[in-house]
Amino acid sequence: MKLSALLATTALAAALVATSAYAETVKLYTWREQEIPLWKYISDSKVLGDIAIEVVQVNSDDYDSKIRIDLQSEGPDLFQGRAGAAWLSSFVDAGIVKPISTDLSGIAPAAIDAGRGADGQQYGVPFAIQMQSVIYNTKVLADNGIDVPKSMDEFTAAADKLKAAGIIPVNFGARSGWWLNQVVGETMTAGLVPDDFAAKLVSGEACFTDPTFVATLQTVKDWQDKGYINSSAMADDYGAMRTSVALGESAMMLDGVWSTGPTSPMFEIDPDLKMGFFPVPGANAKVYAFGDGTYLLNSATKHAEAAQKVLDFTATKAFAELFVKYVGELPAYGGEYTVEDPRLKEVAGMIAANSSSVTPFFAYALNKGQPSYGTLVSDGYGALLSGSASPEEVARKIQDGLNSWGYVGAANCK
Amino acid sequence: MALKYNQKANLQRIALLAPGVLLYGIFNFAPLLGLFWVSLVEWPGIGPMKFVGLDNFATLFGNAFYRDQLIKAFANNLIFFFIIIGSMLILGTAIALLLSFRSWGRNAYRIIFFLPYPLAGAAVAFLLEMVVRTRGPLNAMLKNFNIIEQPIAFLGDPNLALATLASFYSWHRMSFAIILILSAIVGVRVHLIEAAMLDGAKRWATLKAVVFPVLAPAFVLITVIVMVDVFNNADYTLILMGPEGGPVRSTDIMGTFLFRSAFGGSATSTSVNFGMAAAIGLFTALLILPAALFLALRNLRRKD
Repeated sequence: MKLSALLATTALAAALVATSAYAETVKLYTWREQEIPLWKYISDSKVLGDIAIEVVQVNSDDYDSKIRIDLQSEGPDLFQGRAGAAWLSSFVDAGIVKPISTDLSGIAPAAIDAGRGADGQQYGVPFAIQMQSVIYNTKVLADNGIDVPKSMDEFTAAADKLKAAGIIPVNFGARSGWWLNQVVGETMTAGLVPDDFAAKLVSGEACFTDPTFVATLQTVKDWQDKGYINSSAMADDYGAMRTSVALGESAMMLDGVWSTGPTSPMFEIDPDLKMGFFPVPGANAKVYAFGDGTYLLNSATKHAEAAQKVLDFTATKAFAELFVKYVGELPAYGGEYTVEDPRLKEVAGMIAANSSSVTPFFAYALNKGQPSYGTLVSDGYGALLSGSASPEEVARKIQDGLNSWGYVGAANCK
Repeated sequence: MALKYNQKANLQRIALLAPGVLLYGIFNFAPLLGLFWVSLVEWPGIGPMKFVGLDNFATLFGNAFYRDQLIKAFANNLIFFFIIIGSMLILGTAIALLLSFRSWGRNAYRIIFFLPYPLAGAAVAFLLEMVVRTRGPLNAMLKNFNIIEQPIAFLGDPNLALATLASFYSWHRMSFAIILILSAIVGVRVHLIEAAMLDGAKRWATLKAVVFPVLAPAFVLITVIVMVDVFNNADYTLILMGPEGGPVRSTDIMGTFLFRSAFGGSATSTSVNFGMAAAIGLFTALLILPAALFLALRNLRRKD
């Protein structure tokens, strides 16, 4: 045979062998890059037998759109979903996800609600417990002789010092809509709004136009007016914000603990980067913890058995330990598992001791109609940061938006 | 059986038109009819369709949340369109005129001007975004020459973002306008120009009297094509600013509004509706249809 033909046949044979190395391939869609090493390990080491898991990672800003487009055709067998009944509702109503049969007895109670639908049934297996707070570059604060602020006055003093040194005190990546509502909105609320008031906001007894809530918006506005926030906040997205902190150009940012995991792109910029956490030191001074989301099974999958096997595995202790090792985040597993990483130990401690118990962003009562609380907060912070609305006007818009579909507090808060 | 001449001519006509009609019918007209149907249902893109009649239109025009977005998107789109068509027609004519004279390096210029057109929209979007970034070369150059202190947020400032995107579009599609206008200019009969010159008209007067009237069909063609493209597509906005339409919806145009209703935005959307998107699409088509017809018919009537 001619050499080229021989080479071609060998290549083809190799390709065939490679694809038949696994009996089945299950496609998992996620927005989280940090999951890729985990699933690669599970696939390569054949933890689940002859099942290969192919991870399709989509940018968080585009995830919602892409998942809906792909679900119309072959699409994912498994996909990660954001937490909360509101996000799940459209998928539940469409029959894409069905109540799962997986044993969830091992999942931590704090995370179990992530997969609960509006009807109270479980539709997915929760994955990480995340913490959102102020994340700071320890080297930048240390170089400028600043300690972790314990009160808003200390925070302002620290910001002034940083500004004088030519460093951006707090970086905002306001182009990313999901970051504005899920991270900024909630972290500011957890830091400045007392838990009982926040609970009343969700139940409708308290109104968003109340100064207690407006304080969250006012504080951000004050930061902007004092020049603590990067001037290009509206042009910078989530990635640019993290880059700035990683480079040491900014000291602090409002972000989630996922950015400090070993696979975080921040470490590609600075491998020696060290980061710390503290709550927004306001009246409530708590960090924000939540079940990040769930693993969901696409009911139209062609690999039902294999996908179900993968899904069941995600609720086990073995998975939890792999999760800690390869993703570097706290899993949703509630039982005992080994955590050696001091950073994760610190985060787990903060979550246990000092996290807010109220999560308006995930509350079904606030998000089941359009415009949802999430959408209103995202638009609101955008308007606030671009100077087109004052904090009171933003709060008014949020209240009016929620009233327009008659949320639980519509009668109480005109 | 021998066919009469008329019958043969008719058959020929039908046979020649058939492929075009079939293609257009299957890929353009049939989906358009389907659009009417989809606008009457509520469908999140997955699962069953729910017939809701004219509810989508009622929500679109009745609910303040949607109506405000619709008006803003349409206003933005108009601004977007006028900036683009203004720059394409004015700059396009200027450049085409320059190219029509026997200037040195004319062919090289022609190639350079045409280069952006075959590039993919996504490539152009990313390329130009890198240029106008806060850390990008444009801001660096402006800072270098001490024109500005702080970098200008071309895509971050709600007042500038739309104009920036419009300039991206113009840069990309400029050669389309240039070629059409140039071919119209070149088609001007030379002896008319000579006659005008003999009568003592200066260059500018000659242009005004002889060349510009001939450009009218080209202008109309460019306007109609650009109008349909700008109102229906939103590649630059979607790629660069996402479905939410950039800083506080300042770059939200009909295309992004439609996309957002169908597939959800970036801020964790909980309810999406293809029916609403179809309603928006129909509304857009209805809005630009009169303008397109008016322009096209006006031009036809002009022909003698």
